[in-house]
Amino acid sequence: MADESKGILGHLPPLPRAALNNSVIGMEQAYRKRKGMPLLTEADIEALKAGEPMPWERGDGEPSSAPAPAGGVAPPAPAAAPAAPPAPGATGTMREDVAKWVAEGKKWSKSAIAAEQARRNRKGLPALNDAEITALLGEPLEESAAPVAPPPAAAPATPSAQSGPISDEVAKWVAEGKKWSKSSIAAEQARRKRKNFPELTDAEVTALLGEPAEPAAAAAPAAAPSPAARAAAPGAAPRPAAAAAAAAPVARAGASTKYVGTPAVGTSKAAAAGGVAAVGPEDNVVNQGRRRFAWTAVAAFLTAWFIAFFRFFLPRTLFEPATSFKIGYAADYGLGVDTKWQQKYRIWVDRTPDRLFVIYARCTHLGCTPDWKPSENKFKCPCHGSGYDSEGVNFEGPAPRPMDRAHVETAPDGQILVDVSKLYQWPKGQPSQFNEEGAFLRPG
Amino acid sequence: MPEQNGNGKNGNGNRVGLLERVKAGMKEDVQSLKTDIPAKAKEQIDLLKDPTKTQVYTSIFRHKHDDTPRNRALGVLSNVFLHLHPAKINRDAVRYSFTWGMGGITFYLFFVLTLTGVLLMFYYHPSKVQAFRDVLYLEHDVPFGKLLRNMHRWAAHLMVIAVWLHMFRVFLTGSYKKPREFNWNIGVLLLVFTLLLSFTGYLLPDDQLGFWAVTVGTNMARATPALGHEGPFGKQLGMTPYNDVRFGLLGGSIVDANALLRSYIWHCIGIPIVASVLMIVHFWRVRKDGGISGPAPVMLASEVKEARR
Repeated sequence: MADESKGILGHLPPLPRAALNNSVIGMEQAYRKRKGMPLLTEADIEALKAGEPMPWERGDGEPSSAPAPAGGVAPPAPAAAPAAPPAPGATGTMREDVAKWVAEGKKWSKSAIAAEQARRNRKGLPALNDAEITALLGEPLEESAAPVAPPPAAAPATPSAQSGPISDEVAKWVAEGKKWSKSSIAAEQARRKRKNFPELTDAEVTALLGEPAEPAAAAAPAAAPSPAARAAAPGAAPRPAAAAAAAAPVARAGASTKYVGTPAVGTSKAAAAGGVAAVGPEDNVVNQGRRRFAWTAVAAFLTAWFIAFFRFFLPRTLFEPATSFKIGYAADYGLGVDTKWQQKYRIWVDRTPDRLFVIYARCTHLGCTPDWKPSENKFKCPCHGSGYDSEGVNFEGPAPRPMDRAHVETAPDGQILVDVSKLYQWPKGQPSQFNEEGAFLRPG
Repeated sequence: MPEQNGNGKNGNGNRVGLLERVKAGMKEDVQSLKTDIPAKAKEQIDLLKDPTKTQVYTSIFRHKHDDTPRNRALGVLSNVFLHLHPAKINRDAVRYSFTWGMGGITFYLFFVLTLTGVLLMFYYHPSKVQAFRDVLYLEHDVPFGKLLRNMHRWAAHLMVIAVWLHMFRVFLTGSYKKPREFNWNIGVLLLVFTLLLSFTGYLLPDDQLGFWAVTVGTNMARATPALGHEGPFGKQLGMTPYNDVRFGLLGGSIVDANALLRSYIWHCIGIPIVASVLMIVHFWRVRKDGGISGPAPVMLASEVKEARR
């Protein structure tokens, strides 16, 4: 247990040691948590910050004196420390592997111990200390008044079931204030077993029952890490006594709102006060109003952006061909169909004996551009074979109506002004727009 | 009766039987239209009172929304957009005083750049004739064009700054150390790609600033060892201005139409895809390497868990 490389010392540098800062202590705390080792208490941390040795590092067995770093603070995690406390008179404490051997109950002979010492020496491991040898021999050293007690077997066999902290879930139930009956606790235990969840610990059961555990009262002063308590019990054992170990879970429950280690900047005081891992802001009326305000702002922001993005897709300025253009004078066009603007403006200029009009060159079936076939005197659509006569009136194929005609007028300079954005139609079965003003010109 | 017809027990023969069957079937259908559908509609409308019970809702959200640790974890785990994240993190690991939030801000800026960039692509033609004209058009005529272009521009500048600060923070907190060495390298690659995105975007307005910046920038490639015609061993390996690495970058010997198009494609497609993949790896590894490297965790005594035996 006192193995300085991986025992209760965790990853802390061995003595002599400079004063440690928060981050080193924090790392140590993390290491301990990861490894399931007992965590540093506040007193331990203060001692480390002051550069003082930890209580378990004083292998001489003398009770630690005045500045006792761990003055009566209950160890947070007895579970990971199943071994015995230092026996008075024996030098050093017992490491885990030795404790295991001791727990196996077999007495070691002196030669076996010597062999083990040799092995340790060979492997560069720390040698067995007096306490360990005593325990392995299974007999008290002569000068030691007390046996190595309590034997490790007396330590909780299944610590996690016996003690342990109160989980968040249970803490919530407890916070709800309802006392649980024994049968409902039994039902919960059964559920946990079924689901393979960890069973309720004693501390949790006690908390759910709503009755204080008896050892709690006894151990509370010793367990409380307050300075007052420390002052009240200056001579308390620096490290877990059996009673303190038993009381630890309860003490922990009481300290569930306490930070282990240095409280970090920015952590939630509410979490501490609530004793739960994560709490948000309170669910009161003011916060509801704030929440609603914040979400309204977010929604309004996103809506504004959505509208802006939508507007972004509708350009103000276009760089498309003009829909209105001049095509010269009426006198430029003879009778019949003129295809000279087909490529540029997609129109044909069509002149009959009394009228001049402009056909918009788009098949009324599906929008292809038909071809003018002078030899057959008709328009023929290459896509689906619609045919139109020389005035653009359909007579074969799927086209539903004659081709549309563009707006024409005489510009002030006498040229013909065409506007293909304004089209005249002759839908099937409806009156023709081809005779409306603007659909044709009467060339003088 | 239809069944009887089907069995041929009716003397009217199969044909009539079929007809009657069809008729009867139709009748049933009509009846069901009259009764079943309104009933179903009513059922659906009733469900709307509790939308979480509707099939539409349950088909999307596979778990309840009660505020339990399990459901909160599931909210992350069962969401394709969030599942790269850890379901739970140490609250100290996200302290702004520790992380500066720079990684998240970088990703947010990348997101903004993607959105605004895609929108800008709707009005931008990567050709020598139109590129600069399109920029002017965006600046002066397209609705919200100026806003979007400037969002893109400023977000780009900020992203470069944020990436550097992120890197600086990671360095200061030693988060590049084991077990995060691999992710540090991914991060260095992401830094490079960020700078390349910035560089390729520089040319796209096709203005004097970008043109000369890219001219100077790619002139450096001439001196690439072995691969540049002015670099060490370049001449000996047969490098000329018409076959070296700079030529490959620009698609020519001068910064011209090909260079503009190449910048555009690297900027809008090539690098973003690679960077996105690397970002996914980066985020994933943050989680797999033990979460955001935190300051020493500080926990409540109530949170301390015993080791499982």
